[in-house]
Amino acid sequence: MCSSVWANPKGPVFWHYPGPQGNAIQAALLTERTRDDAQHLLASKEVRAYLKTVQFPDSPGCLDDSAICAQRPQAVLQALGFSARVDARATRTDAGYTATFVMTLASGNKAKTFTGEGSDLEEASRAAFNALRGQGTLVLELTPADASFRIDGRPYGQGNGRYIVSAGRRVIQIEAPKYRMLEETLEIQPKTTTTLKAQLKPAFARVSVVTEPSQSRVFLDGERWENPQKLRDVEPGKHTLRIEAKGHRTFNRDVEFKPAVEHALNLKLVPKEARWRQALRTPHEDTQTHAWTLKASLGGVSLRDGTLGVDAGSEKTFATQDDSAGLLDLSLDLGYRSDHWIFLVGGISFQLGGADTEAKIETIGAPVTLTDVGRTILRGGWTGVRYSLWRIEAYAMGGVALALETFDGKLNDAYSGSKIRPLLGADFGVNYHFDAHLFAGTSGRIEFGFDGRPAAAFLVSGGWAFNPEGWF
Amino acid sequence: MHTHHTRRPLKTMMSFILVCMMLFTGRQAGAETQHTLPEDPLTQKAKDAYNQGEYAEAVRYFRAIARKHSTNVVIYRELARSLSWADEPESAIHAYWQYLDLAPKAADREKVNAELGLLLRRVKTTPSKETPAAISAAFDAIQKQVRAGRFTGQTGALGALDTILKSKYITPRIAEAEGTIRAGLQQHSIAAIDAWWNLEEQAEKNTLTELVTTWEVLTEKGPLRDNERRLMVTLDGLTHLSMKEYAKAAQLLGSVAPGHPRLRYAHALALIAHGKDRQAAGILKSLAQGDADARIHTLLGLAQNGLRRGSGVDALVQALTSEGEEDAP
Repeated sequence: MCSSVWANPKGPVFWHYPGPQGNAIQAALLTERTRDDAQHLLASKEVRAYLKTVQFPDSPGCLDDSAICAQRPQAVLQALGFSARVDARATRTDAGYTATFVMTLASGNKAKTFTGEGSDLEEASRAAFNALRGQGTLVLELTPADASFRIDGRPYGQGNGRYIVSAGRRVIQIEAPKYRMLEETLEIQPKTTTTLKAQLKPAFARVSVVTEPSQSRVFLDGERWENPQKLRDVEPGKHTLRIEAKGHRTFNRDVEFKPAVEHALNLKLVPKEARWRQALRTPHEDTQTHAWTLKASLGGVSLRDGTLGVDAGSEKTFATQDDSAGLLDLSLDLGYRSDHWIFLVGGISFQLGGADTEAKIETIGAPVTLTDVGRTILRGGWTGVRYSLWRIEAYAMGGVALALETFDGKLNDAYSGSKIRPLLGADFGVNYHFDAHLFAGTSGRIEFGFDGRPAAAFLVSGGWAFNPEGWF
Repeated sequence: MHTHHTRRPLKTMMSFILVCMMLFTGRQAGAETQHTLPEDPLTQKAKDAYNQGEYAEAVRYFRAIARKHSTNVVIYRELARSLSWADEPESAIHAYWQYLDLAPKAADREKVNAELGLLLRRVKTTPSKETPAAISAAFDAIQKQVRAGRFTGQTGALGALDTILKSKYITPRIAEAEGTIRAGLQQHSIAAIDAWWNLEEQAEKNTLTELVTTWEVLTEKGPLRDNERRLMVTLDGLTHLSMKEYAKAAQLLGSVAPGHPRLRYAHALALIAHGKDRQAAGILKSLAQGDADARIHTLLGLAQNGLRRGSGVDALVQALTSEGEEDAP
């Protein structure tokens, strides 16, 4: 006969405790019983509750001779719908107690006896009950190998190996330090081997986040985390933590949580900069888009006094310019630029003015008043650097220039002369880029001649940036 | 008779004693009428026909009487004389032989021998004294079928008896065969009732039906004794119970149950199945005294559960915890 017939009777099982130890056996079994043993009516009140519902059966079996019964109890068990009856007794022994359970099946099979021994009555009863249920072998293959395990909530053993387990549905709980507990429900069949391979996962990390400001929104792996101040279990490993707060820079960083470790994070968010400051921190793309520039400038020039040595005609020479001359400047420049380098391909300036400027005619030695001073300056090959902040661009460059100067003066007669002279010049200025093309700015330009008479100009300019791609 | 498992020796012995008693009483009844013609409505008709010279008619009557009272000695002598006058010498010789065998010390033995001698001279060849093979086989079949519990049908014990009775062969063994059938029927009936009660045996529906039918056939042949009638009604009740005809079963068993605890149990069972829980509970409560059978407590509990009485649970608990192994209430 298969043991499972004994272990898993289909109908309710009537338990009877005829001996003096009956109450103690019953109490022990009631604590041992699991939900899988629900068919075992261990307590008399359970039996009475069941019997109250029993009605005359459609097929009375041995009661009306429609079936054969080997023994009288089987006739009663069948008629009342029981699958079996168990007579539970216990006797005292030198070592403790021996519990004896005699199970009579309603089906008429020969009664079977199950015994259990123990140091006390409870242990003996439990052993006999397990014997009645039947036993199977449980093979554990665990990672980590020294994990301990419980069966139906009771500590049962530790480590890999073979274990004898009572038949039936069993809840196996496997646990190890720094690992998460694993719970498996197995159906242990009598006289069979059941293998359980289990790999415990590392224990959760315990994580909490306290933020400043407190009204922050915390996201873990993209999911909103409510009440981050409260510790929660987090899968160990790398995670993305993002914290947002109004007026503060977003914290977004990968963090690693270790298993079985409590991570209490305190994070203070950095307040955001003013927008204009942030804007100034980086160049605007409009300052970088186009490489070529065409700029027109208008401004005033101060031409300092000094030796002229300019033939004024009539064997006269403008010897010196005794006063500074004020000139009006109109310049046109064609330039090329990269992010930080600037190059003046060519530029021309027209300067005119200087009326009422005192000068001396050398042969006469008398002062003469200049009526016009004109200068045409050609610049080319100037180079320099520039630096952009947001839409503002500062630059400085310098190079050589060639100036054609003309002087008109009057004493008693009118005199006129001109001179070409080389110059060293430098240009400093700032531009504001309205968009990728249009910009305006102001600049100062200084020029030095080898014969003195430096000039300084203050200019206001406007320009157009462009790329000549497709022009040619 | 088909029953499962072996019967207990005690029951077998009781049944044997019962059969012996019945046979004994049967033989006593035959012995009382040995020297006179049997008291039968046909006896006077037979005498009248003989006295009026209507010998064929007399033979018919005497044969009918002989079949019913085959152990009566005188009937054979009268039948022989009638046969002789009816010109059936061979049959007459057989009847004389039966007479002389049954009454070897009869006072008229010499006269009968003289009549027999005249008949023997009339026939060309002396008939055989042996029982005809077909008749002998029928007698053997009766013994065999009774033992097997097969009574009805052409091949049953009653069918074999009919074969003998339909022949012209008359012998005292006819009464013996009838007694065998009746005794066997009683024995099998009691065994069937025992089997119905015993847990390890089962009275099969076919067996019960066969026995009831046999009793009904015997009823047609003549009135049954009280104990025979009780057996027949009991078996009929159990038959209806096995066929789940509970109302009829309750009616039949109720008429024979008083005084018989097993039959009262069967009666109560039929009543519960028929929905008469209150009536059944009354019967079972009186039965459930002392060390009563667990089945009685079970039925009582079920009946009381049907009546929604809390005491039903107590009776069922008692049935479950009963350790008694007594044989009958």
